[in-house]
Amino acid sequence: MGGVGSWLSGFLWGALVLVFVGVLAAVVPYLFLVDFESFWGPYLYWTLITGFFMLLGFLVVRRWGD
Amino acid sequence: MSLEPIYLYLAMLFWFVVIIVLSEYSRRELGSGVDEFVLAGRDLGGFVSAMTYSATTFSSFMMVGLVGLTYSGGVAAVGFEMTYIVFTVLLLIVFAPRFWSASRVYGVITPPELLSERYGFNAGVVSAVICLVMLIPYMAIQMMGVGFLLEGMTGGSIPYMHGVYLVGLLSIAVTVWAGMRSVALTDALQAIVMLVSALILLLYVFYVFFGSPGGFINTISVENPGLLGITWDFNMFVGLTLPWAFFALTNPQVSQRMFVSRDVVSLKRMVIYFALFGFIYTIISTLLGLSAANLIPGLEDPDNAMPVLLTMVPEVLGLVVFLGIFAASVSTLGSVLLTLSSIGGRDLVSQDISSRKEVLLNRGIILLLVAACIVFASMRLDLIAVLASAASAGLLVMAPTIVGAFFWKKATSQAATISMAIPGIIVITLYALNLEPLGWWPAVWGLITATALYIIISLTTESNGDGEQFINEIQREMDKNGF
Repeated sequence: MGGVGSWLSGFLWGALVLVFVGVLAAVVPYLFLVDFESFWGPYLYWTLITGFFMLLGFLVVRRWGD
Repeated sequence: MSLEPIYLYLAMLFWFVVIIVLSEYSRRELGSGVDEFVLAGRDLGGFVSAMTYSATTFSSFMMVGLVGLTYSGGVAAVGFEMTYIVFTVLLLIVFAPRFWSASRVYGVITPPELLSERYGFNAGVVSAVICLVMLIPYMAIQMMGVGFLLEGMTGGSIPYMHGVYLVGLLSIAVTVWAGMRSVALTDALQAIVMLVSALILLLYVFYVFFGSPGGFINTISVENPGLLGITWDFNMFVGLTLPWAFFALTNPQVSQRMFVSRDVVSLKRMVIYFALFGFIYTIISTLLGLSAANLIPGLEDPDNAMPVLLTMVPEVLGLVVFLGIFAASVSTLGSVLLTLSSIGGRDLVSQDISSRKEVLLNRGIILLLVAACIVFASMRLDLIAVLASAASAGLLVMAPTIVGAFFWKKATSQAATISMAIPGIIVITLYALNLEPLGWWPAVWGLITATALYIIISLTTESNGDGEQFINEIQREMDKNGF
């Protein structure tokens, strides 16, 4: 089971993040925004979460090479 | 009203001259050897790295296909493309340092060669075959896009095949001339043209047809509110989005670009500038799709939204935007050609020939690939569209193997080989038979079977210990470079 353990420790963080992003990008709008026919609905939501993760990315990438 | 063919020919001739001049300039910088030809000596600066990454990723699909998707299906297309950008940013944060470090440690040229280093020769060959099979139709689509665009914009005065030949010819010029050096430099210019021309078109549409950006929002909100809601069903959204979400890892023409940055600062800039480019380009394309839905409703083929929209703007603007789309096709095709030629030469033919002969071989493969694509494109078959759609799903089956290469020491060669080969066949079969078991798209089945096979076979076969060494060496290189 050591193999499974190391796989879990290596993958878990990344997999959880990707699943979380998948839920944010697909499940949330399909659960809560389906009937929201406005620019301030799905369009704004998807734009904002993309902007948020880009900002997060910039903060991480900025430290590369330090 | 359609555009005069002579203006379009002149615009393409102008572009051809620009590309040739830039390619010749790049050739003077070109050193010897396959490393130089395919990866520009791993010496590209941050801006050029980012622009070649962007121009390779964003093909004519953005201004034709995505505009068409938004035209017909509304803002779900925004979610599809934005999800791609979020995943790409996250994947680049995790994998760009690893790919970049691996290329320094092992001197690999192609992504399949990286898998050969980690899992052994067979895994590299299977990966190379999947790349070739899946990406030839994808390249043909780039040619077909321009063919259809020219035909649509001129009311058929410019034959479809002229567009196909011109894109093929220009792509050969870009790639054969100086390999990655000419591809990267011309990509940088083409990326700028793509973005600027699209932005100018959007501003024109906003101010001339809707009065202002606010007028656009009001008009769409009142007259086309349905397009602002989610119209795709969930399975369609997941089926389309999933392959794109892992595009940065599974498409060799983009993952190979993680090898080319000169240093950590260049790699850092590549990630940041690409994310900004993609975000802005997506917003522009989808807003144009919504505009077209209001201005020219009722088109039978949504992919005609952009060609028809271009006939409604001044000819000069139409030509500039056409050049942007033309540039997007040429840059994507050129990049895929260079990558596939290197995969063919390095991973399938031989690793034991001299560097000079390998470059010659790569150039020969480029010519063969263009010829194959022209034949595909000339058929104008629906099958091509199916294969192109299957391409991204087919490449997705490599995701578990690529991810595991860097994180799971226990993963074995057998697991990598089988988990790419069998799901690859499953995906192609599902597409060919037009099957969606349980309503799930082939991409979903491909990823599920690939992941399951990769884990189960790794746990039931003996690892030779190479994984641990591979991962440790890359980690050391990453630590050395401050990742």
